Amino acid sequence: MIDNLLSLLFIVGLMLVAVPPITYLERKVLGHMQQRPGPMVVGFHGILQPLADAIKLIFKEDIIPKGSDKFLFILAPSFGVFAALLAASVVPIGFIHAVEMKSALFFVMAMSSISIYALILAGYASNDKYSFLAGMRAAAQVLGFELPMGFAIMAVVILMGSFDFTEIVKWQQEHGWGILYQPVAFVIFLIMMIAEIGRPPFDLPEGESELVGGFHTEYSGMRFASFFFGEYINIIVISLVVTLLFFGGWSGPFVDKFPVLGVVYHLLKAGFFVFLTFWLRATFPRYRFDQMLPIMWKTMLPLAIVNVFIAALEGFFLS
Amino acid sequence: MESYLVLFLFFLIALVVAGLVPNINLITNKLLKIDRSVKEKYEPYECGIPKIYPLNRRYFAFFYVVALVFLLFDLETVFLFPWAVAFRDLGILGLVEAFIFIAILLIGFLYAIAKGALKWE
Repeated sequence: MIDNLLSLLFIVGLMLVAVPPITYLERKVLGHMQQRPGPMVVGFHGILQPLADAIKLIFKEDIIPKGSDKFLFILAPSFGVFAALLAASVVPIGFIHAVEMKSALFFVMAMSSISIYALILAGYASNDKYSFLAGMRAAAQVLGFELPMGFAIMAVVILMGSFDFTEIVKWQQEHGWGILYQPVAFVIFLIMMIAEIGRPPFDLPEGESELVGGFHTEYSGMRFASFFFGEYINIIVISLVVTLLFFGGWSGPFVDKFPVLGVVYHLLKAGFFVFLTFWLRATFPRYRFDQMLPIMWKTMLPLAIVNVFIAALEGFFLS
Repeated sequence: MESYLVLFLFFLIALVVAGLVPNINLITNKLLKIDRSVKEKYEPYECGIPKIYPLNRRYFAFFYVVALVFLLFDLETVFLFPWAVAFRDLGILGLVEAFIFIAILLIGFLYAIAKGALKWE
């Protein structure tokens, strides 16, 4: 019980503390990928930039546009943060388990799917054409990524026989990393997780070149920042999950003797995927709205269904 | 049981954080007495031209047929998940049965494509 409470504090603390440095890193990485220095002014190499941003955002005037649905307008950013934090609750990091749940993977899927409601609500409540279109795009995006992601996860679950992250990692410690058995599921999951957290090239609801600011056009101050707060928490959570499913989670050399190493391995592996989202943002142009659904339905979904067949055969011959 | 207690605690923490963080500006605005109400500032963004009220919220969702197909398929994945967890205990019978189920699913999917349900027009 005490362990669980300490783990809870650790996970909440990690999610709250890690977000500002990640925004800084993102801008820095993107800058260097585009041959410019990135933030340089505030502090040494701009290291205090997130702090300056936070101070600016906190002291901004709170604007609620005329004619908007006030209740939903206030609810939307809160909902994003809430769902993202709850998704983080069941994800173990190394030996740190806050909530031990048999169906943890299912819970994470559910929570990170409903966090897209924040975008839909924001788009609807803003009383603004651009926000409304962005909200509709977010709704369309849910229709796209949910199914292939579900089937990719199903392939992993068939192989490892559990929704429990501890069981999944135990299986991988015995048999080797999941990616060796399910490379196709990994590729599908990777693409769908980018769509789920709404990062480029699937950041259609944001689409600043077409929709001004997308769902957050009308938002200011910390309400505006909260959307990104939730988004970055989602990035961390989904990176932790992808390492758990396909890269052995906290498994690695000497973990049996020093459990702390497991935490380090896990965070390092997840850190790579956080970096990957920046990398993808710098590399790929955004998909057009009418390209997105056909890609997911006509390419990814059949592939994912066939992959479930393969996973079943694989699981059958392994056991 | 204990772990659900912790989950409830997590739920409360998430509720407090989600309630506080987006609304900090209300407090700071009160403290700093920021209140420069200019009427135009509260208009929704419209590139500077006057806004026409009320906003016509009618929008033709091109993807409504996709949404219907999605609903069906999402339900079927829910049926498949218990099978995936119990896969090892079911043996060859479970394998064959699920294969038939997924095959029907695939045929349905191909039918939807052939009927043009996923066409983007």
